[in-house]
Amino acid sequence: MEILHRFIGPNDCFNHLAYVFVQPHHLIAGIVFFIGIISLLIIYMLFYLVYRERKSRLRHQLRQQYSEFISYLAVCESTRELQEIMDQPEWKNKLAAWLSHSFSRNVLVRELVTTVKNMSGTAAENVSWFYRHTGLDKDSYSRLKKGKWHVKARAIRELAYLKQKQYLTSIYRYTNNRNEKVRNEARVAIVQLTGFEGLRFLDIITYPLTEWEQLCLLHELSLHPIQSFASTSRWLQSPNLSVVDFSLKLIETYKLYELYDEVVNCLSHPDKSIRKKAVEVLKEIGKSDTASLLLQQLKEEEPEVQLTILHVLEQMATENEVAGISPFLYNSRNELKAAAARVIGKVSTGGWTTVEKLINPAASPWDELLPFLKQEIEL
Amino acid sequence: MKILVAEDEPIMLKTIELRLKKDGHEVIATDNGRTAMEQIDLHHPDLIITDIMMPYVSGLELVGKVKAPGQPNVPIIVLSAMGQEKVVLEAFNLGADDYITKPFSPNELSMRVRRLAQNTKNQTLADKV
Repeated sequence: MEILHRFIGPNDCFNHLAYVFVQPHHLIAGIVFFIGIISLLIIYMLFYLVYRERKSRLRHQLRQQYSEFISYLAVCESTRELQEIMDQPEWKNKLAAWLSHSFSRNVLVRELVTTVKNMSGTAAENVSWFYRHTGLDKDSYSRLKKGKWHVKARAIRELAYLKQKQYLTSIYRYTNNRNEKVRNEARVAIVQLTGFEGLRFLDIITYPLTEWEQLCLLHELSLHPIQSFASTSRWLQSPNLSVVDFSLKLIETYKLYELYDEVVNCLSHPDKSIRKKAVEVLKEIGKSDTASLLLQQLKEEEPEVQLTILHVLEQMATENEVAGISPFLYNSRNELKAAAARVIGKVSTGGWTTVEKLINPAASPWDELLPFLKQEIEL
Repeated sequence: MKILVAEDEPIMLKTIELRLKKDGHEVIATDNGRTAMEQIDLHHPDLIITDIMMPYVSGLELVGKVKAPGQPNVPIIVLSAMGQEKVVLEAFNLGADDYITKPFSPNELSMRVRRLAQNTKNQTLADKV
């Protein structure tokens, strides 16, 4: 009490009230309560750690057992050989035990996926056969139907890696799912299973394709034989901007010269990023008149697109375009000035002398900019 | 033929081992670069198959040590993941004889081993002549 008196002055109204209502036994009860809570938390954490440790040990043991079994499957040369291995009493009993628990089934599926990521040909086909033959595909499918978003995404990945084309229609439904991860997995899975044909989901999707998703799709497509690009011109008309962007990337990657006119039409697209991408694509599939076309576009564009056009003109322009580009040497933006100087310095017959004739090399910012640009070109 | 396989992924290691044993080769399997180095000194394999990404000693270091001047000429096949072009080129610079990109077919690896073994045999014969 004396100690409390020392800290709680009787003149202090708030402290006085606290002294009246908070008795020492209240404090002791509070301390005991919080110690109890902390102890419970520590006990829970310890139990959880032990549980996690056990699971991880079990997973490790299972992985070791599976690796031997899967390896035997992978080197089989016929379905009969596969069946013979599965019928061996040693494996038959183990398989029955593995397939009876959901945890061991999950680990097994993960191992099968790892295997097909590393192996192709007959080995991968054998693993897919086993996955379907043992009904593990149904496990993945039920997770796809009932699970949370991350469970669904994993199920889609499993079905795709293990080449389960019979679930194509179900996976297709998820290509426009409201969850980004689920729809990303579904889109990539469709292409993984059917190649270029799978891109038909571009007709229906309303959610955007992220940059990462586009990269994944392009990577998957690179693993398939090239098929028809007939739908690409339709996708260029899509109200979904990311679909237009991806179509332009397809044209750029696969050099679809036959779609030149459609790409030129994209230069009048209301979205700036699409116009920018179209300019970049024209660099890849350009014709003899592309430079003059871009020069025309240059005058009407926003600064960001103008910069892209000037970069592209560095590769495509000729002496004929120099007169059209030279007004940009007097632009208020230094980056446009520099880009225009680069083009003229590179493509005009006079080189840097032409640039120096058009500007005042001693005046700012050219006194600093010009030596730097010259050095850049020399390098 | 005595073949040393160094690969840290257990399924891959076991599959390659089984495939090569099916072809009648003697296989020494190791799951890391350090053990691989010890096994090379101990068993003097006729051919080495190594993954690039391995714990302790990487596949590239292994290639560098095996192909160092003064060492006997042991052919090496490098296993690489897709998109590791630079690493593969580095492996070739260090003296690797062939490479195969994951995912690969064990049958394809078996054919490459056969071809490489034949080339080495022809080379040895030519050297003797």
